[in-house]
Amino acid sequence: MTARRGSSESAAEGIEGMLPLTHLSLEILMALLAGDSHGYGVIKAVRESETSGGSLRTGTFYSALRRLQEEKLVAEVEPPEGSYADERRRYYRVSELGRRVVEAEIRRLEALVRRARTVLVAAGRGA
Amino acid sequence: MKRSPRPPWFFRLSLVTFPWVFRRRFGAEMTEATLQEAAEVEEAHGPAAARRFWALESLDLVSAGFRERVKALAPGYRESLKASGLEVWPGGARQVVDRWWQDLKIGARSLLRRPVYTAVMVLTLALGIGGTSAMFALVHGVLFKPLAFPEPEDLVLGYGSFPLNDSASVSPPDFLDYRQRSSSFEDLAAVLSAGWTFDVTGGDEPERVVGGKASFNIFRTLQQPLHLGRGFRPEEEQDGRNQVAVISHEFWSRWFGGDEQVLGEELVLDGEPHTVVGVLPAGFHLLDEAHVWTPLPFDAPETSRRRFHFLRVFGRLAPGVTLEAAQADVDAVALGLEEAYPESNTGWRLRLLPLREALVGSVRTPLFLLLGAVGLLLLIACGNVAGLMLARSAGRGRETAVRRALGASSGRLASLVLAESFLVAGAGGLAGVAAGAVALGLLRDRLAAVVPRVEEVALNGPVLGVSLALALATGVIFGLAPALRVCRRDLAAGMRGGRSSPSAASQRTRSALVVAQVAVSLTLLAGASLFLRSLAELHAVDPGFEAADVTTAVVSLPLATYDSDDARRRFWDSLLERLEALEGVEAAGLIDILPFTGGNDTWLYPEEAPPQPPDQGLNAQLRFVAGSYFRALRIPLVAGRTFGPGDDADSPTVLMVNESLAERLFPGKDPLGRRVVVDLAEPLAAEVVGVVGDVRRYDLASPPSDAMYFSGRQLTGSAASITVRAAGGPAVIVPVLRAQLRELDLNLPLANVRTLEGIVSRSTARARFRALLLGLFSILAVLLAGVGLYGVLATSVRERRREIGVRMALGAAPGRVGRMVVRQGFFLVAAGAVLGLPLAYLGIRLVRSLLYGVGPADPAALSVVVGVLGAVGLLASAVPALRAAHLDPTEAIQPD
Repeated sequence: MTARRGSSESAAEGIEGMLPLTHLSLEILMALLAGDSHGYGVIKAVRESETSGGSLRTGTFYSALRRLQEEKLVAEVEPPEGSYADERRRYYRVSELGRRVVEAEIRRLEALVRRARTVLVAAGRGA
Repeated sequence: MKRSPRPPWFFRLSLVTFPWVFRRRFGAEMTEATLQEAAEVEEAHGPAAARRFWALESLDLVSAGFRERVKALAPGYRESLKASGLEVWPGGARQVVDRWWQDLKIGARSLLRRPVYTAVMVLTLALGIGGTSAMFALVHGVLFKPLAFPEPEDLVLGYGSFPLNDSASVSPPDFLDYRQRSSSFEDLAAVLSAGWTFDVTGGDEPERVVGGKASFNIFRTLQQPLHLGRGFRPEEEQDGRNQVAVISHEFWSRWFGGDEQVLGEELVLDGEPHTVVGVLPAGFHLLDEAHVWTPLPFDAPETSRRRFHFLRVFGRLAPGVTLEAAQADVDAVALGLEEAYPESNTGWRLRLLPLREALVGSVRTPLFLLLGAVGLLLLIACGNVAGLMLARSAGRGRETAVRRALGASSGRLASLVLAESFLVAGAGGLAGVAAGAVALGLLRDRLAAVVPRVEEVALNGPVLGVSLALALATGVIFGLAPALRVCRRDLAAGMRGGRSSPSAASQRTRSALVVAQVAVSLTLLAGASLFLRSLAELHAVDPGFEAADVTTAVVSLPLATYDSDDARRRFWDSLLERLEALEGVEAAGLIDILPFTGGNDTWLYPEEAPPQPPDQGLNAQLRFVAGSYFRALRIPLVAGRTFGPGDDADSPTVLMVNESLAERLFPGKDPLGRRVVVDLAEPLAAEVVGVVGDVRRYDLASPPSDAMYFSGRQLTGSAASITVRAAGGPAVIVPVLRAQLRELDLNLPLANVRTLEGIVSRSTARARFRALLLGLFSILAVLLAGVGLYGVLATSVRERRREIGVRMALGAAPGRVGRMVVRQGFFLVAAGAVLGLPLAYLGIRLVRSLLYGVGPADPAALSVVVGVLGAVGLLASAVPALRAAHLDPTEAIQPD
């Protein structure tokens, strides 16, 4: 008997289809999960994160940002009230979909780490 | 931290590697982020590190950009980018429009915050644009608008031409031959050159109506459809069958009340009943104000003489025939006529020219002169507004710097300035067009006296289009300098600035504008001065008679009632007797054609020395006078006597000549008692009994021409102009004249009542019009230039306050400080004069044919110009100089 797939199953498949995230995408999403920010703010946050590897250039960042927006993981938002910043600045936020994708990626990475530990322990015993 | 306003060129170039749609979405943001980071790097690690940073960023841009271009090949890339941001992207044009609309609103708010300043700019522009629009409407309507006939470019006018005069008339037999023999015309028609006036009776009052007599095909030649009925038929060109009439729309409305059943109605013209066969449409214009047309009978005695030239020819070229070909064709016919009729046609031709050229050719140069002059005024007005806007933008340094610091690009800032300038230009244009329309409406009657086709002058589509283009162009012209200036502004200086921000470049530009304005207004002033001098010279000309206190009017005797020479003579004698007996009348006379109102010429020669052939004799004006005509006009009697009661139909024919004709007929001899032969259809011999002073022929500018006078009692005509010299003017004398006329004949109207001064004045109407308008433009131009100069000097004093304060603190006398300002003003005026004098000279040389009695370099006129400019310069400098001289040094040297 073949059961009809529900929407939650489709959504889960959709999220799974986006994994694995690239390292840069994940760093960007994590930086935005800490709070809405503008482009330069995100670049700085990613650069300063201990897991990013340090350097991130503008061109590379905005290419990645474009893809995240295309996949609807990130959305542009209005500048915060009372900000007098340069009118060229745009602000961004992780979407709900983006949050779930990050969660799924973290579960995937956790599963990977568990398996890697199991393999290492087994390899240590075998030596 | 200090942030550079722009990234280096290689960064901007590297950004181009990204697809356009990506740059559109992220470009500005990427630039801002990189600028921010570059500033931090420079702050932390110095300029060298910042340069390395830019280089690495640029390299990253190039590689990321090319990768992005590959991704852009995927379907949906563009749409997903467009949908990804908050801004609306439906094509660039809509956003440009939205932004422009926003700029206009900001500009409008800014202008409304300073209403006086804005009003000055708008009014200044309204002056320039309004004047230019009105003048262009005049030029367009008179010179460019096609005539209101179908295919008007095919219509030509034909003048009779012989060696002494190329704008003469054509004789009826010659016209008939041209019509029959030439093959270049679809139609060839003729009208009486001098028009005709009909005495129309049958209504409440007899009325004298201007009309015309024409060949049967006049309306067909013009392809003029009639409102009612028909034109004339070929058989109606015969005497006895020509008692039909075509009337104007206006006459039909007035005389027949617009009755649609008017065809077939009777109209009594000059005592003869005519049948109305047609009504012309409203707005038809061929001869001025002609209201009644009748066919010209070509078989009557007066139209059968080849030597009598009194027709103007109208033709419509056949399809495909050029004017040159038609001219060659009629030249060939003329040669044939010359061979067949050597006594009358030797040297005669038919000169063709396009009808529109014939109507308006004489006003082309003056109208373009005035258009050029008002265009110069507009430039000066733009200069003033540009100066005002520059001054304003100099005072908005801080606002501009803040906008720039918030990320506004140079283009955006320039756009804001241009939006303001377009708003000012738009408002000025609207106000100007409205003012121009009012001016045209008020001046229309006066214009009719100086330009033909005034009825075609209107603020129509092309004129409004030109006005709109002018408004846009002026917006660009005077907005450009401040827009460019705002692009180059130094951010830091602007933020520091306050009101005394450094604006030396702005001052230099404004000074240059003032110099240019002075140069242009000198040109206008020189032109006006010369034309005014020319007008004065004209008015100083002695016309050969005294026009003051002379009233004239026309009386025309219907041939049906006054059907013999005796009857007409008796009438004129009675009229003159009554007029001379009137109290207050110094002298009264009659003449067939008044001075300055046209005329007929004919040949004459001394009886003792007839030339071969006969029409190589002298050509002179022919006049018929009676009563005390010469005394009425105070034309001096130089020798001999005037006509008297003894000179009547039964006595030998006598004539009088003017001085120049006497000298030409009988050089160095006494002409009195000598006999001449005059060509009056048949040769007529007459004795010279008197010599009178020369009288100018067409107007004050034309030279006196030879003239001969016959006694109206010996050669009696049916129409004459009464000339009465009496104090009090027409208001006093005309009712008396009418009463006298009514006592003689109830049915005779007194027509065309004018003063002789009015006739003379009308002959200078165009010169007066030109001088008046040029004078007005030049006064306005000089005022505007003066205001511009004042603005520059006032700003200069304000900005050099501290310097002036220091000078005064170090001992400079107030007088010296004031003189320094005045010197600055004079320097600008002198520079403008140096530029303007050669311009003025060149410009005036182009129109020197319009000047009378003065040359382009007339010293009196030029000294007036220099004097006026000097005075304006002094006045404009006075207030700023006084302000500078009265500065308190201690206040002046305080910082802002």
